[in-house]
Amino acid sequence: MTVPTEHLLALAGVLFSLGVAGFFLRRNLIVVLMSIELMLNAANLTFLAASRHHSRVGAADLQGPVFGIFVIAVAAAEAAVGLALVIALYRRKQTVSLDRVDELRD
Amino acid sequence: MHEATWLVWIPLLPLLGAAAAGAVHFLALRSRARGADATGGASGAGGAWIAIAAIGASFLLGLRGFLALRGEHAEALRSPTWDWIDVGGWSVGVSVVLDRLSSVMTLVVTGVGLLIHVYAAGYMKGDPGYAKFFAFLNLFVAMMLLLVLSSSLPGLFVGWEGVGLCSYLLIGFWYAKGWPAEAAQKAFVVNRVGDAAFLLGMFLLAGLFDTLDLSSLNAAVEGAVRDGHGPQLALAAFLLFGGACGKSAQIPLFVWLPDAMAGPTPVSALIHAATMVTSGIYLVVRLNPLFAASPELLFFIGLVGALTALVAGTTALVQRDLKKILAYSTVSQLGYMFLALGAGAWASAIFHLVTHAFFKALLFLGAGSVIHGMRDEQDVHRMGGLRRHMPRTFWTFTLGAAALSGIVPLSGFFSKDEILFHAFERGGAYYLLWAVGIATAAVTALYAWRMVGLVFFGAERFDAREVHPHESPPLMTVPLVILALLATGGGLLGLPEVLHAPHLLHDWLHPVVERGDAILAAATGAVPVASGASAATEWLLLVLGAGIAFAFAHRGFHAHRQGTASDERFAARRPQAARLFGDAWGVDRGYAKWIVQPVKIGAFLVAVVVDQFAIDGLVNGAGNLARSLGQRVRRMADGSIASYGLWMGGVTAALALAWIWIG
Amino acid sequence: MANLLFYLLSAAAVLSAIGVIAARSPVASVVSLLGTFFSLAVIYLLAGFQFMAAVQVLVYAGAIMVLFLFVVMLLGEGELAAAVESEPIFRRGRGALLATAVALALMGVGLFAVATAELAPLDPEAGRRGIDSALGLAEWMFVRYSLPFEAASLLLLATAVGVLVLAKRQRPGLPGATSRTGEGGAA
Repeated sequence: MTVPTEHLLALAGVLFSLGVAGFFLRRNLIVVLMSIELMLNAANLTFLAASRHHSRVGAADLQGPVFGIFVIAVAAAEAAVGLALVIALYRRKQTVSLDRVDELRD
Repeated sequence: MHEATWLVWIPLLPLLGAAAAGAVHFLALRSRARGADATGGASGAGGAWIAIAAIGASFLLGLRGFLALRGEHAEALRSPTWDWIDVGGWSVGVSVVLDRLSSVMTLVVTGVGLLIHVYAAGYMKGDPGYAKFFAFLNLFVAMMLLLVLSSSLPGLFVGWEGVGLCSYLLIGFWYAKGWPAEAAQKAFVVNRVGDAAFLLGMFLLAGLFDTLDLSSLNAAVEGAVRDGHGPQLALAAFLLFGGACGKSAQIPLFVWLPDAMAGPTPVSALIHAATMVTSGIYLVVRLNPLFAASPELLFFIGLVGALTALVAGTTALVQRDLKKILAYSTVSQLGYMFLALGAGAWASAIFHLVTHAFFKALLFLGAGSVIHGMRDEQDVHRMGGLRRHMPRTFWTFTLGAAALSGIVPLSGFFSKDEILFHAFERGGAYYLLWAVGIATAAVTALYAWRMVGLVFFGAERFDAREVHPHESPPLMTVPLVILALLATGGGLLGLPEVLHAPHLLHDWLHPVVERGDAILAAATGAVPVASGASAATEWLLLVLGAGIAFAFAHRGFHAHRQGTASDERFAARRPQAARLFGDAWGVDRGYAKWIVQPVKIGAFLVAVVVDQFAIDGLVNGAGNLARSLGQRVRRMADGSIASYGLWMGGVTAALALAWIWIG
Repeated sequence: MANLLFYLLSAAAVLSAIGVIAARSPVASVVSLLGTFFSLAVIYLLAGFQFMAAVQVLVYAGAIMVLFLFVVMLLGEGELAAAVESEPIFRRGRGALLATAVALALMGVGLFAVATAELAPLDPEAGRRGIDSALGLAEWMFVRYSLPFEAASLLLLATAVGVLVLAKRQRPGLPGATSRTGEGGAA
């Protein structure tokens, strides 16, 4: 594929922005978590695009994929914990709407 | 110089007496609080006897010192020196020095003071603060003795401040009444102005000489003049004179003395007649070489003294309060003493100081007796005919008034006349001062006998059913008698030359003042005092003085013996004069308008505008700002994850944008 | 050919992403996200990252999304759907406008940056045979980045423990039994 790196980065940017929008604008906690996953994916794509950009035939730049693996691992952990929180929250308040979760207020 | 360690006890005994009397006072307070005897007199009486014993002992020691000086023909007795300040090669030592001058002062302070203490034991009976009063009195005597016996200028200054403090305590003794507290404050503040000048003068001297020991200073003056430090010496002397003006109530710092009459009468007698107010005179005489080195300053001092004498004398003429008459009289007589100093007649000033102590203390104590017997009435327009009710008071008081007005052959005549003679003798501009002095003598006789007439003669202008005037107890009248004897015979201390009798005081004080005389003679080319004018001039002046005194005394007495008619006529015909005199020529009013009011306005401005609005506003405003900011920021913590996220994300995005734009 | 595929897949990814954030039902969001993941996986493949593509599918699509789906189902999709339908899914108000503005700004800046960037030319041959390989990655992971690797494993351990504690059902009478307000919860 000879797509210029800029296009890959553009895609990553769009996906990231969509993730940001979803994070801020949705009330459903689970969808918010999913938006976070979307953002992480966009970041991953950026890493890989950069790696591809810097690689030469004999010398492949592998820092991108390595970082990407770590990102995935952390994303998994974070998703797991987040969902556990959702469950715990639902048990107490019978809701996953962020509007009703404001007990930390002053 | 003879070493005499026992000298330390002279000021120390009254100090200990003060402490002991104070202890008695506190014990009395405690027993009263526990519901014991309600009157302070019974439980505080011990304080009086302690104080009397202390000052009596000091008097005896002073007498011993005086006799020692006379016997051994010694110049001075000195106690061991205590090194007070020792810094950077500059040291100030303190020791008690009894020389001829300070022996005279000591005898006056302790002698007259002892009589006043005895009197006060009777006068203050029944007062809840009986023992406290005697503690203060003794403390005052201790400070005054420190002042006159100190060997160095800083030591003198400690006594100077100490008597000022005691004056404050004693003027405001009945502070619960309200106005005595204000009077005490006024006295202290006005004195402070003088003290500031004193300090500046002392600093100047410290800079010029490397010592502040009084005898060393006096010895070094001539050398300093030769080295060309004349102007600085004059400035230092002028500043010290400023301090003397404050303490000795001369223009323009005399305004505190009339107000100080708010204190008990024994206080007025001791502090504001006989002793504290004479500190200024003592200072100048003690440092006579320094003052003699500036003849122009001396004339100025004489001028101030003469003017003060006249202004105060006229003011006394129209006062209705008996004590205020005596207060202005004191200011006037102090003016005479400064007039003497101005003429270079140091010993004459001391002579008048001594005689004035006798007759003024007598007058004040007599006035106290009158006031006491009249149930605290002080307005002479409401007295009259008291000689029938208080004979002993009447006779002693009249003798005092005679001495004050300079009737021959009482003490006041000799001392006052001597001053006028020396002023006349100096000639030149001093004729003006002499004229003012003569005029003041006339005024003095007028007001002195006005007092006698209004108080003791004529119809009784009070309600005999309300007020039962009675003679005072012996505790009060015996000191009066003793003082009357002294006031009458005190002239023997200084008989004029033309009578071919030795002037005892002059001869006694000669070693102390000879240096000043010499410097003055060298500076002005004038012949030293006491050998100038001819005998005829002296006789003429003596007769003139006696005549004026007698004539105006006669006029004053007869104008007022029938009642207040003369006063009322004067007020009706010459209202402006009456107002001018009554107000002490507007000095107090001037102070109130030009100094006190602006200071009060300034203080109000600072307190309200600066402190309340600006500073408090700033501080409170800062607090309020923090609180309101906090309130606003607090709204950020609304518990909504989305808003938190928005804040975080938004700011991060903004930062990133900024970074991109800048970088 | 590959390029065309890339552009098609990009469009698919973007549309799926929009679907994620705009879907009414959470299940629909999950499925849309799956779509995004798969599109991305193929893009990785096209770019020469075979290992990453595999991991993307296995872990992201296969594990994480399944987890999401489990939770959505566990909490009762019917109830959730009912709860969700009664209220608008997007926020309203000033915050929402600001958020939209921020998101758009981000997108705009990103695109602008990309458009004006002057990157060095790409080596077209590099990705042909594949850039990442198990061997190469292994060398990086276990030699150079061995510490982060171990740390990541610790992280996963902690996650496992934490999830257990958080999601545990509280029995009444045991310490930490809860009231409706959530006092004295787990952890």
